[in-house]
Amino acid sequence: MSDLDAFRLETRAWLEENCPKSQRGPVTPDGVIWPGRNQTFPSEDARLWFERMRDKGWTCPDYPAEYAGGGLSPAEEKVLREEMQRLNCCPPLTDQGIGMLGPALLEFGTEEQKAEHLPKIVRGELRWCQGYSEPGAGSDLASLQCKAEDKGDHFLINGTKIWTSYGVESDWIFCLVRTSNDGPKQEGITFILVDMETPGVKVKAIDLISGASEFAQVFFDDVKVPKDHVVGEIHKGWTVAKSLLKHERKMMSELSKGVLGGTVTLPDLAKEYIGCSDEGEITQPLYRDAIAHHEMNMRAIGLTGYRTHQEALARKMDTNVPLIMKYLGTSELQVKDELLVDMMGVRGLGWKDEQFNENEERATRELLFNKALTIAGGTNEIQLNIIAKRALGLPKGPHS
Amino acid sequence: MSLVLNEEQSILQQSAAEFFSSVSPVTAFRDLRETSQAYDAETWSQMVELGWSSILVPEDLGGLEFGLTGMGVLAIEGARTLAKSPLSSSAAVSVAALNHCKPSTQRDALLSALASGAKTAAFAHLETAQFNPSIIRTQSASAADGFNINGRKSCVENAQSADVVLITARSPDAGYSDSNGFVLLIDPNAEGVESNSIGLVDEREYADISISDFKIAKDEKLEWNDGAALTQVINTATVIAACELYGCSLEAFERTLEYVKDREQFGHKIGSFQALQHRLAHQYTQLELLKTVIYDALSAVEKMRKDASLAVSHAKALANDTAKLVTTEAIQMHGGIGITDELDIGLFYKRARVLRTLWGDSVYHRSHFASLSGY
Repeated sequence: MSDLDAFRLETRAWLEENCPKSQRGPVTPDGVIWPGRNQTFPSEDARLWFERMRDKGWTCPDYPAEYAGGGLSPAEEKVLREEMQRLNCCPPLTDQGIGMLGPALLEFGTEEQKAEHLPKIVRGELRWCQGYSEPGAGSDLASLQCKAEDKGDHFLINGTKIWTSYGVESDWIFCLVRTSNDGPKQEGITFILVDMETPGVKVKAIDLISGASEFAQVFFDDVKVPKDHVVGEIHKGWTVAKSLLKHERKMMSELSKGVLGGTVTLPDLAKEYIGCSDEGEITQPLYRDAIAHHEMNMRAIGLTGYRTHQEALARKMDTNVPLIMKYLGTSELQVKDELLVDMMGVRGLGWKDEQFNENEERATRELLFNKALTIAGGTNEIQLNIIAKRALGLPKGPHS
Repeated sequence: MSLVLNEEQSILQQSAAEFFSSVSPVTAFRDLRETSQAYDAETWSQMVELGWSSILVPEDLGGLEFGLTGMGVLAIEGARTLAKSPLSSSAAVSVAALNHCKPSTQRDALLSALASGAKTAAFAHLETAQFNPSIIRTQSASAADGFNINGRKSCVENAQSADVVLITARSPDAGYSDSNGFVLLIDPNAEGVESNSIGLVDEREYADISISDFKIAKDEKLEWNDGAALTQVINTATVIAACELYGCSLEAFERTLEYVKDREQFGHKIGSFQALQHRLAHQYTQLELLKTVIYDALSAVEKMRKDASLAVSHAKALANDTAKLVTTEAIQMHGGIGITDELDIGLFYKRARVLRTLWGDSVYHRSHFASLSGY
């Protein structure tokens, strides 16, 4: 038996033993385990599951063990992910620190920064958010104006950040700030970490069309930040930001997997809401065609993700293919959202009412919230610009 | 499941790309339009020498047993230059049909002859203009020393240039299903077999065949291996058509990409305009998905995976839709020159337009995909 097979058996047995029954199955929005200074848990089982995974470093399985991570190789991490999927285990910890800041620190951080922040991410001690966009800097992110003045031993930050996911609930924020106006706009940007309890930081929630407030606007008014909180070089934050955006887009392209959770599928819901023949055929041919079209696209996207994995193993990676995944995954998810609400009729349009069932509430909420997916992390239009430039080598236009 | 070509398949792909662009470029297709030939015999004999006619033939009958993915790679590369040959109709589909028949002297001899290039064959199954693979009205009744055949087949590719046509048929007393059907070996030029050529927009050889009271010998009737045989042959034909659609689309796309990087209007390369960039970027995403799904379907049919029919319906539907998008956009982005016969772009559109219909359109394959998925 290979080491990897042995690891799989060991992992399988450990998960069977240690993942509480209630922590298997689809995650409800209320069941997500978040980190934080004053961490609370959805349930006692959730705490137990988190603590067991944390102690093995498996909240961040690919982080090095010296920073309290799992220290797993890519192949082992894949095994762990597959075994968790097999049992349908809930994520033991969800945070932007894990998939975004952590990898950036590993690539660009100093030894002190890694030792300070990575173990806290692994152990869920702090909740992180991201400060990139500004009211005047959305798709044109590099034109950001939030200013950090060099005051000798510290920076003084003034300005604002917007569309910060979970800004209200977070403890620390990683930000892009302007440290210079000389030269190209990308070259005067610095990547900096800010404790949100620092005097002068204010956060305001933004109400969304979905009824949720997952985004916030963060205001900085003469906020003092020590200089050793800069990640990478001063004025070179754009390099860090680009690397981090890759992780963000990868995370978003994976969102489209298993959104309904559990075993409820779009065809199942179609049969329930539209009806089917004795043989199980959806009775409305146009819905049936639209559903098959969507299911095919999801299958193609999933297989293409798998193809890039196989190409990487065979060292024949086409590095342009990952560029297309965020655009495709998020667009197709919105196709599903609209189709599902169409099928449910009025039942898919419930707003602030108790009488709708869980699938119906979820359909409405996701229809509205998922409009964010083709905007956040680089709009679809920006993604197409990137594909046109990098994959197709098309010439730069007057506005691109 | 393999979604990446292995070393041997990659080498085959490279040599195929070189072969088609040097020996059988689009100008060769244009030259053949001026003649009544279905394909150039000399080009085909070179392909035979390269071993391409024996890719699917079993080793013990003189073949290479290289696998369907290799054949798919050839179909993709051949479609990029609109190459005309019996590669798909004979070496892919007819050989697949014979592979799924029970061994017999006749079958084995024919497979060897197809591998060596001594003969070519065509596969005649469909009977209606709209794709409906479950209809078989062609009948074979027992007669003295053999069988008496009646029926008609629609739009058979390369039938008139073939030495043998493989005709699917059923007994007069049986309702048709795969398990009791069979394959008849018929000379398309024999008396009693009427074949009428039909010219389609892709300017290739197709014929409707009608057979009335035609007698064949006992050993000219072959039995299918099992109840799933016909489905597997149809899957082979369908996924090869999808490969050709992918090749046409990829070529039209790459030529368009070159054109927009070169053509200037308003003082700029038109490829710098976002209105074109976004459409081309979207087409690229669809071509990448198609590549994945085609490799998956080839491997599914080759390995006789349980979900092979589903994978094939997926591949053909996506190939149809992507080819429609890419080849029509190719014409549009070329502007006026795109609708001239002088430029090749319109030829790729016309070939793709035919292939989108052959072996099932997207509505058919989405419906089939839904049925196979249980809805």
